Amino acid sequence: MIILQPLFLMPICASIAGFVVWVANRDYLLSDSGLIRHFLFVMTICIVIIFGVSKTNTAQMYFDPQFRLQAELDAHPVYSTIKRISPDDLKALHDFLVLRMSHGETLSYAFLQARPLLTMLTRRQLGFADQKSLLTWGRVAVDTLKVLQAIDPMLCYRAISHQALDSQTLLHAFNADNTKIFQQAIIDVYEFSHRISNPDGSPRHEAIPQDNTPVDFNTAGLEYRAIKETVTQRFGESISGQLAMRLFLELPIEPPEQICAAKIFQLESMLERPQAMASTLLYDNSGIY
Amino acid sequence: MKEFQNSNVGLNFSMRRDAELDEEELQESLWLASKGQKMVLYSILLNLLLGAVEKSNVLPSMLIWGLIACVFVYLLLGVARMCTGLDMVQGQRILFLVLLFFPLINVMIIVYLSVKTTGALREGGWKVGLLGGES
Repeated sequence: MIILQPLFLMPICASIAGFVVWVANRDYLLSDSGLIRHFLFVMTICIVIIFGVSKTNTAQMYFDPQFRLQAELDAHPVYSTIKRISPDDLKALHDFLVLRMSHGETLSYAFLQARPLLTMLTRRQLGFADQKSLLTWGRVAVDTLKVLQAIDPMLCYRAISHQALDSQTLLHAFNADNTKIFQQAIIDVYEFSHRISNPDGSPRHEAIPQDNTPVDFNTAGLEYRAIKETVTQRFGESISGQLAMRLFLELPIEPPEQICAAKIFQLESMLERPQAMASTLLYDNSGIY
Repeated sequence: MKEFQNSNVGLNFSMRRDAELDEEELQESLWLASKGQKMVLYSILLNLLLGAVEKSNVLPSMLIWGLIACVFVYLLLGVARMCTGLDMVQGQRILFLVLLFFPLINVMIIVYLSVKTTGALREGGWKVGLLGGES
């Protein structure tokens, strides 16, 4: 806080102390030592008062931009959730947001820019997520791809192939509702992964919900094959193969709108299945964009 | 006529006494200013010494900062004495004390007061050397 720097604090306090001593002793002459004693006494009180006041939250919010920034970040649900649950992820997110905000961007704008980073961080947590969170994340992925496809199928393809989206796209593509759902999905995934882990990182089996029973691997394989067949019939062998391999080149070898439509269709087909089957298919076979 | 002569002698005596008193007061003021100037010079030297000690990490920094604070109080007292010696009013003395807390301005204040004190001491017949005046 700038006001607490000795360069500012001492002159301010000295000026106040000088004024107080001058007013209090206008009518009689103080000896040198008496003057210094009075002066230093008032100055010390002044320093203590200013220091005490500056440590209150209200004063820090007003004077300390660093504190104000941190308070703003802490008040954001996604930031506070990640801060509580994953300090490693927090560091990456914090650095990104502070960098963007230091360029004068607002917190909500910085969070919009952080969408690719948040997506990457959340995908790392999906292995610990429950079935409901996985389905929510899958729906967010479908919505996101639909929004991008409506703007430009190439943007949708870039999202599928994990290429960076430019800041203008991120700013204009997603509305408030979409952002809210996206952020809630992140919170759900992190919260659940935290709930089922012990402090040492080992799983807490008793915390896993009863309705979270996984489906048989072979059954899921058959179901996946059925979806793949449908995709092949609708969009062709090449696109189906690319989706299955999850190998996307920087530039699409098929029309991007076709690839995007196929991916959306694949995810929606998976989401139509019962919860256990849908979550298994989404996690194991789709790569959820 | 004799009465007049007596009163004239009395007046002369009183004027001489007043002049002696003024001279005494002046010397006392100069002594105060000289003492203040010495205190300021010593505090500057001590400050330089403490700066060197701090850089060499011989003493704990808390102790160094405590000593620096003491030296600063000594400097304040020196400046107050100089101001008193130069017959400044209380408002001026307080103003100079306050200005000592402003970076750069404090250097100018010390130089200004030191130059003024040296002038006053020389005018009063004092010798002024590197470390202040001597009567």
